[in-house]
Parts: sequence; C-alpha cells; structure tokens
Amino acid sequence: MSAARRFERLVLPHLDAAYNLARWLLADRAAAEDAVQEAALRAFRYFDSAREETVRSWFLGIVRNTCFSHLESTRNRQELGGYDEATLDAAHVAAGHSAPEPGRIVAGRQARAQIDAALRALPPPLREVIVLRELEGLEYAEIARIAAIPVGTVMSRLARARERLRASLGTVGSEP
Amino acid sequence: MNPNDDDLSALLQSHATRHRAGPGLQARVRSRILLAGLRDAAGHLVDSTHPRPARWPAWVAGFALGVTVTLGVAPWVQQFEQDRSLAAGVLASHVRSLGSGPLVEVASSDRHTVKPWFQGRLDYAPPVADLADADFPLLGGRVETLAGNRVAGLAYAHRKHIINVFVWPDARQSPLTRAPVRGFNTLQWSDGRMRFRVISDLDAAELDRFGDTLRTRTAPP
Repeated sequence: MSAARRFERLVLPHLDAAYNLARWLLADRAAAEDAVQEAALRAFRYFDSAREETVRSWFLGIVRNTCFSHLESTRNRQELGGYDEATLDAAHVAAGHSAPEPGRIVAGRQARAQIDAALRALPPPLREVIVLRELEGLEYAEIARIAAIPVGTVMSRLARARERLRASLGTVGSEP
Repeated sequence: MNPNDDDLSALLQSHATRHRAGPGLQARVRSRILLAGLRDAAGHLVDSTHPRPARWPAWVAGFALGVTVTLGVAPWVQQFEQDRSLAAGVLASHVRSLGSGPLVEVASSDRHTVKPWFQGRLDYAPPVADLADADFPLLGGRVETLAGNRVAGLAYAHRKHIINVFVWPDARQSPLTRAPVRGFNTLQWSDGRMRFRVISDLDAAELDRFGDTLRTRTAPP
C-alpha cells in the first residue's frame, strides 16, 4: 500500500490543477471528471517512472494527453486536425480578426461569462497554454513539458492566444 | 512584454473560472488508487466500477452449500444453525468480493458519498464511519445478500488487507465475540441498534483495533 500512499502524497495535491485543465479542455463536467480519474489511474500505473521534482508536469502531461485523446475520439477529426503553427496562423488570418477596439471595458458580473466564453472560443492547443500560464501560473518550461512542445512554441501560442482574446474582449486601457 | 499583455493577464486571472476538483472527485480518485494498489498486491481484480451480477467461483459455492447441508435442521439448534449459515454467508461474501467481485458498487473514501448511496437500495441507513485517520481508509460500499436479506457491505482497507463489514438493524444488544473462520478473523457485536459482522485476513490484534475504532465511531449517541 505504500505506493498508493506515496502517490497520494505526491500527486493528489495537483488534482485541482488537473481538473481545471480537464474542464477547460473538455467543457463537459462529467467528461472532465472521467478524464481526471482515468489519468490518475494511468499515472499510478506508471508511477515508478515519475521523478519527485517533476511530478506536477508529469501528471498534468498525462491529464492533457487523456483529454486530447478524448477530444480526438469524440469530435470531428477536422476540428482538431493540423494543429501545427502554420494552420493556426492561416485560420487566424482567415477569420479576419481586426485590431481590438481600445477602451471597450469588460467589467462587472458579465466579466466572468465574457472571459470564459472568449477562452472557450480558442482552439484547444491555444486554450491549453493560456490556461496553464494564466490560471495555473506555470513557467514556460513546465508548460512545454506538459504539452510536449518546444518552449518557443509555447511562447508563440501564448502570443496568438492573447491576440485572439484581445480581439474577443477588447482591452482595458491603462487608466490615466 | 506589451502592457496590454499585463492587462489581459490581470483580466484572466481575476475573472476566468478556475475549476476546483470537488471533495467527491477527490474521494473517488483516492478510492480508485487504493483499490488499484490492493489489486496489485493481491494479484487479481478487486475493483469494479459497474455492479455485476454475483459470480461465485465454484469452490466457494460448494463450501457454502457444504456447510448448510452438513448441518441438521432440528429446531432446537435453529439459532445455532442460523448463526452458522450466516457465518458461512459472511465468509462466502468476503471471498467472493475479493475474487470475482465486485468489492464495491460505490467506490469512494468519502462517507458522505457512500452513506446516501444506500438510500433507495436498502430500507435502512447504515452507519458509515470514516476511519482513515486510524489507517483504515474506506474503499466504498455495496449491497450484499446474507441469509436472504439485503444488507449493507462496507469495505475498508489496512495496508494490503481488506476488511468487509456487514451491518443491518438488530435491536438485540450483544457483546463483542471473535471467531476465526478458515484462516480469516471475524468479529461480531450489536450495539442495540445495528448488528455488525466484520471479516478480514488481518491479524487478530489489528482487527481488534479496527473493531474498537469502528464501535467508538458508530456508537449510538
């Protein structure tokens, strides 16, 4: 039983982060809970290969892989297909995003709904990095490990995600 | 970084929903991991997420049947015989739960999830105690049939051992008795509201500690 206890001590503290990531990737609460449980069991299977110093990124990596597998199996492949940087760029241009309107303020109770909706509108590879960066506060290197992409790609996806979010939300100008 | 990035970060961090794993999810994950750990130790499947119709390995059914058949049906040993067949049922249920399973139909270490699960499945509310701090974590619950009655089965763990607790209403108070059965250790008692029958391959001393802790935590107010 010591393996289970050690797992509890090292991995379970990251359950909130895992569930947050799963909810943002999968939308549906039940699917997110299933994914987290599945990921936890899978992580327990491979627990021997985990290193204490990198447990969080290792576990979140398993969670995001579980979620992306679920996305692939339940959605039209085309929606997910070709998430390389070129495709993301092309899609962005094609959508005709113009410069954000300065001074359109997002405030009050509507803010949460608006911001959540803007995040949801991002394609999963962009949503993933912005959630890990802004909501979980992770460093680029850790995000790179979790998503299994180079750090440079993390930064360019973050930049794209921010562009799209600004377009959806407008910006809060720096107050004079 | 462009100042707008900071503003955007601030917006996201203040307003975007940060979902948190509820206690239910935490308890389910905890229980599943414990079960997976026990499964590894025991070498066979003890976990079941979906209730299955009971499938008894042949030798267990044969044993239970054998015990019933060898006992006479003379009325003056009726009480004794009832207890013997109940004991056989407890043993068979314990072995079956470890073998073909399922060990639990609701897998959760949270008693606030397990106890309400029995509503609608039993005509009484079994006491479900949290003994995790005493190193006896709850694995979950299931409905069992003992001597023709539907009763609550609760599974606890201690290190690599599984402890099954069967509990049902019984107003006849009776003191704690211990009995070894086929290499397993068992306890039974009634606190004047509920009758408890406990079985495990745990050693007698540790099972006594479990029994003491359970009695304390389920004692009528």
